[in-house]
Amino acid sequence: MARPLKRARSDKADEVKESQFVNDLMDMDEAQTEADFRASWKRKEPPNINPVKDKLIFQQIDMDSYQGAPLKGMPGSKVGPVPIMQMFGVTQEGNSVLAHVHGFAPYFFCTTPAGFTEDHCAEVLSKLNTAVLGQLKGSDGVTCAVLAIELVQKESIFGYHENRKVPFLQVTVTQHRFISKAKMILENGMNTSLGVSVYECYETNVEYILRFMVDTAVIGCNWIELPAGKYRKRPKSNFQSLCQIEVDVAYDVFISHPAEGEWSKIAPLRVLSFDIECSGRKGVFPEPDMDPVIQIGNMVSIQGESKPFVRNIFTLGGCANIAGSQVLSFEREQDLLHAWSEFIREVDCDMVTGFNIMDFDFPYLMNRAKHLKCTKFPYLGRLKNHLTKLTDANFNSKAYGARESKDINLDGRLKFDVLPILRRDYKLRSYTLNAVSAHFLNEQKEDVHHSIISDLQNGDDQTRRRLAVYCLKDSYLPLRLLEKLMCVYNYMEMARVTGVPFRYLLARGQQIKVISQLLRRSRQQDLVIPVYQKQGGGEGGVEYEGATVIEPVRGYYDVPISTLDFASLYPSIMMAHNLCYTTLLPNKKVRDTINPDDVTRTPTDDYFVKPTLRKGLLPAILQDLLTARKKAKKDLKAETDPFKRAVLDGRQLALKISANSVYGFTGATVGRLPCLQISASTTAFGREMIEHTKQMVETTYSITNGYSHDAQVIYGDTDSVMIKFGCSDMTEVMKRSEEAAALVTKTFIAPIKLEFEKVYFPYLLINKKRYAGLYWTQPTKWDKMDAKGIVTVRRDNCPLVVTLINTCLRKLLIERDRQGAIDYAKGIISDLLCNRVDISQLVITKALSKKEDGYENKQAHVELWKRMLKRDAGSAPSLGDRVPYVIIQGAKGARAFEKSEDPIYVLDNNIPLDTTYYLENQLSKPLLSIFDPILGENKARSQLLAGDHTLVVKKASGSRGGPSSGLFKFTKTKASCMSCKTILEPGCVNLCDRCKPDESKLYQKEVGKLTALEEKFSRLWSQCQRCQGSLHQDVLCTSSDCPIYYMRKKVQKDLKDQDTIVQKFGDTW
Amino acid sequence: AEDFLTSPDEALIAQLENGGDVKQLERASCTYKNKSDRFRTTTTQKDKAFKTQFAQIYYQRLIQMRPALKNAAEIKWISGSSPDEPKLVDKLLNMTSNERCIIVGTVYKEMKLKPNILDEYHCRETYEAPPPERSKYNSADDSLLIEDQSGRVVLGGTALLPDDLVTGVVIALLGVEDVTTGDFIVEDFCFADAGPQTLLPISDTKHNDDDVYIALISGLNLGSGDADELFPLQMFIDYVTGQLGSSTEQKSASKIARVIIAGNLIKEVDNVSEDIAAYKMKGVEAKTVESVKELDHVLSQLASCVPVDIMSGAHDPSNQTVPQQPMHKCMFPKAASTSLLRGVTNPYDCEINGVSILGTSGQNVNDIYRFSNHEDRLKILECVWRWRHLCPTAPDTLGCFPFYESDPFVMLEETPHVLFVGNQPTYRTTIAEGASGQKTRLICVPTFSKTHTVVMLNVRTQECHPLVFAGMD
Repeated sequence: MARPLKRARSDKADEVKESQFVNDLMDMDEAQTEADFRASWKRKEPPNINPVKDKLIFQQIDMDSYQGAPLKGMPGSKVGPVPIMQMFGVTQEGNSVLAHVHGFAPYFFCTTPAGFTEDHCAEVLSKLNTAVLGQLKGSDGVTCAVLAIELVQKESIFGYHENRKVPFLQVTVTQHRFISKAKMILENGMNTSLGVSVYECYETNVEYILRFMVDTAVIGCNWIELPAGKYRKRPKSNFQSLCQIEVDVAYDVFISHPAEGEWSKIAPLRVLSFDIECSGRKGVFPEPDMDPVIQIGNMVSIQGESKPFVRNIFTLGGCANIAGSQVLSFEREQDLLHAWSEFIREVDCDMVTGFNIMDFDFPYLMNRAKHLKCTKFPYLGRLKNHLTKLTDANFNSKAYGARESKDINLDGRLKFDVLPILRRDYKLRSYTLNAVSAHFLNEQKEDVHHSIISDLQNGDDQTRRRLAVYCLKDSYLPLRLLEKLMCVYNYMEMARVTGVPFRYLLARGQQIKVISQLLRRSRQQDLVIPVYQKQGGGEGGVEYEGATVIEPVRGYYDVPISTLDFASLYPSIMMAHNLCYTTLLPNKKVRDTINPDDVTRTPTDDYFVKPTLRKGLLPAILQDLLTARKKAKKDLKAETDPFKRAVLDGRQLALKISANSVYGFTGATVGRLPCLQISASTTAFGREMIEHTKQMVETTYSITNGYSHDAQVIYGDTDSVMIKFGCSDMTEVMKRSEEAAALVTKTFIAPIKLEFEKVYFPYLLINKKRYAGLYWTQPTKWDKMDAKGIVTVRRDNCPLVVTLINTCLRKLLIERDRQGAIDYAKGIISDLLCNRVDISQLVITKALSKKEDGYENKQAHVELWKRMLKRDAGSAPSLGDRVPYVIIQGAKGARAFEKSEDPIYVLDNNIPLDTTYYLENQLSKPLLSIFDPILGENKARSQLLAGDHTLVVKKASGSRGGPSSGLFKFTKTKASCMSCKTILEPGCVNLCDRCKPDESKLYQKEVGKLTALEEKFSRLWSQCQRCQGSLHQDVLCTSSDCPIYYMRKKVQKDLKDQDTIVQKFGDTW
Repeated sequence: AEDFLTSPDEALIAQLENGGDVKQLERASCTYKNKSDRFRTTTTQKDKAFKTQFAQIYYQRLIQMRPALKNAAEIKWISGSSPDEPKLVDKLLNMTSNERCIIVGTVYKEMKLKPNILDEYHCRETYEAPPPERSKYNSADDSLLIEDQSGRVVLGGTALLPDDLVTGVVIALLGVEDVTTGDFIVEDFCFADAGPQTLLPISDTKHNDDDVYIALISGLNLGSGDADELFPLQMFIDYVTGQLGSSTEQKSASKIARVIIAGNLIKEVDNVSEDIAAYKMKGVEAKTVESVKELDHVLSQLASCVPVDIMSGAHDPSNQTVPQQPMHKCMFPKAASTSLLRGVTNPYDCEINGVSILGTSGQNVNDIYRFSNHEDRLKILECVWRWRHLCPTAPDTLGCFPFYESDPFVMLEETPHVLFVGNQPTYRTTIAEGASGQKTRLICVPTFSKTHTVVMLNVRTQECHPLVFAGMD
């Protein structure tokens, strides 16, 4: 590693002559502190463990396998190469561990041909071995491919077989990659003494890691105990990794602790968060082949602790000191990259986080290092001399959508990018770091545009320091987000509950979690899982009917509307009706042999046996999950320690999601084991139940039965029904709801349960999945306002719409002030038409992605971008940026995309906005949707969108096409009276004679406006100073996500204009 | 006796007794110089200023004050006799860890409760109740930082407490940077303290007859329309104009050479609200109109026979950010016709008979009160004096014009002989003394509408006393 540059050189002008002694002192101090902070990176030395007497306990966080020579004394094949598991982990004391787990051989199952006996095993073994080796052509020195073949009693998971086990072959191979070869050979038919027979293969598609975990009962991120005397410690010279402890152990002697009680704790993991800054060229998003990496900010903290213990920044070029952070400066970019790579190895983090690091920071660093030929850079993992590589990853999941991304291997370090987590788990209007930290941390973040970054970099030590502080903040925020959202707890619990490795959670979809559980469970019951051949054509497969809804009876309800919900609807249906692969009766022949009392016929005309004959596997998994969830919720209530609470809450959430994904797994036609009979039956039962509930409630609670009103189900969705009992007394409604829920529940098989959860009052039902109301759970006080699907989070709505609709709903529902809501809406419309609405409320943003460049349809933001490029390439957004725009007035008939404009340009040039566009295309639809049910369709339109308030229209006079252009050339401006606009006599400056007596009044009005603007100006700009954390430096932030960004710009202009008006009254005294 | 006019009845009787005996009294005269030019914002300045950010004013403040602080620090901590004495570090970031040193910079106080326009914006959007307005915003979590143009450092140690300071004060600190935390552990601190002061003119005589008084009054808060409330003010006017009291009183009233009204001439009204929809705006009048009419009437009486300087205050129809510009003449059609009424800036700096007088309408002290733990207004005024800065909290929490060439609030060249602040809860006064013999009379001028008190400042002696105009009851 190159030595960092000397401490920041101060500006020549400020340089004070100091004695050589002082300089020497500073140098010594420098050397000292550098050694100090480098020492602070390292982990504490591990205790000296004696493998004979001491046990070794650690939390494993990641696993991988490699091919190696068999180790003497370990089980498994004695001839190599054999697969060896690497288990990376951390001890309670914070030391990193790598355990090499030996002897676990991969295997699969296949059916046996008729007449197969124990005696045939040897023959098949040798034949198969030869066949596989033959395919390998002996190229890689493999002498043994198939290790063993054993006759076992198993049962296929698919279909009910009267609980009869049949003989299967368990084929154990030396390497996982031989499985597919062996499968091919067996399925193509193999000639033995029994003749040519085809063997149907099972579980050949189980990954080695998963197989290992299932068989050794290891779950994601659990604690592993290596008992004393059962493992060997490696000498340092024989280390394969940079971990502090390396051991060898056999796969069948270690203890894998279930994540319960004491073992639900989390080791002190080191979490690194980093952020890079690149110096781009004007108007182009930085490219690794051209633009240097100029800074890398790093924060390392111990999971669960709030303050990072390492805070440093690597800078290209000198950088002034930053209190509380280490500054490492480099002259050469290569040295910077190498030093950072060494830092990663030195600090030996267990988890790497950041914001969009997987798609930006890591790929950029890797490509840049490649471009600069930094050969020592790409060794970021824990394995010594193991090259880190950048690969393309395609992620495709039904739940999360398809996404192209990059992946890199960090052997033994977990990658935990905050951005994809947020994208998955939260629905937000915007996913920029600014928007996210404003949303979750309630903190605005300074945003420096990349064109300014280059300027700061090309300045001096001070400007680079400025950038460094910004970069450090960006590296700190992801850590704080993880902590605030408890992502590590939640994901770790998910890994534990579903039993998959932590890294699968972000890299894989929902299916793998179900597979993991299915494998674990079927192993206990000697079930084997067939390999499902995916139907061609990706999307294809059979469509089945989804959940239906009871058509909503739209309107505004001024009586309590009770909501009854089915708790965990789909899981409970599957449990109640014993829907499973193992209970399915696929053909009539089998079905006829069974007593009809033991069979359930589902509404889709599928048949499943009842638990009396066989208890299904899926119901059992679901039962476990739901019981565990109940327990976690109970424990959560009792727990007071915030850390343990976080773990428990993470767990209950993980359990809920897992339970729901089981249903999805059976319905995923492109999945590993779809079974539409299960999923279609489940939804069909659901539909029936909703219908049944409606019938029952409406017949029971009727006037004929002595009730005051006829109950009516006004809406029903997947798992809930909404009932208007008709009576207005909240206590009575709640009582009836409880009663009805219990009554209906009785008619269903356990554990299906209809629960009374809440009452909406008042309630505004707009359409399917679109409603709003006040949410009551107790008769005395409402809990919150609940609005579903009304104002979408889509960004092509401007913020004004969101504010308007929310406020109207509040006025309608909370204040029950219908007129107030109408007046408010009118006021906003009037303000909009008079140009009084803050421009930030009217900004629409869209991301500029590469694809859109070639779009056929012209899009407003793309067109604007093209125009901005022509205007000033330097300040124009780059591909990948989000483009904020507003709609301005254009020529008559101009299309919306022609009228888009940069809000800053609009402010600077005083360009009038197209307020009618906003009224008609943005406000009117959502506004009418909530007022139509209240006022009636035609009335809402005539009251809100026409009338007094729409008549006063002020158009900002644009300075575009000012006096020098067009017809204006021929006009003369004459001063007019400020009050009545009469043309003034020569000599008068501000007011005509008629208005002169009102001068005092007019002055006070104008000065009043001035003071309001002054206050705004002061508060906005001093707030930005606070946010950027500096009083002495100009605010550079260009975060268009910040609500005050445009405001602060606008107020400068407004203040100037208003001051000019006030000045017209003349100087005083 | 301080209250030599205790009862209006007495006054009336006195007036009746002297009724016939008309004796011409000459009003005291004095030399007067308005030195407030630095507080006037010009059109040329404004063209640039509204595009300027606040960083400029902090920068100017630090540059202007640094020499004074350097000087103060050297006097306090450097004797020159020992080689291990702390050195003054030119920039914060050139500080060396673990080495005792002196730094100069601007204080920034991190306050959890500080009102934040973003929160208010957020509340408006989500319809939540905005954070409550408070009389004080300090809390136990407050912390201090110091910064200069090179960067900022967190202050640690117990020598300097956040409660005593506010954002914007320029300070010199002695201490050491802690290696592990990066905090600067403060050992001792010092302020710029009072600057140079011109010598007071030597009085030719010690005779009381040569006394010249200035009446300092603030917080008339006119506009309630209630005659009872007007009564004390009317008494004050009658007193000043010589229509009240015995010949003795009339004589002393005649010694009042000038009246300075330090802001809040009219009562506080809400600004024309932004909540009124645009289509309903037409015809809405500023709420100050009636109060201003009343004020014009009052001022026309007062300024008929004595020079009156009216400073703009927080409630008054002038601009709001400091420095406030004079109220516009057009609002006083009656009073402005006399030449004795004059609108002046806030802060206001003038020289009367060679005595320099500097004062504000109170926003500076009231703002420090809200953002520090100080309860004592006089103490705050003394702090302002020692910090050598009139409005340290501007622009952070006190609205301020974005100056870019200099910070006019630094009391650099001259320490005034009298420093007053208007609109305070009670009358308070003391003398502050500087290290090199500077003496300044500090005065808290109380709100007249609440205390009915006027402060009489004797220009010759810089002594002062309150004059209370009690009501009918």
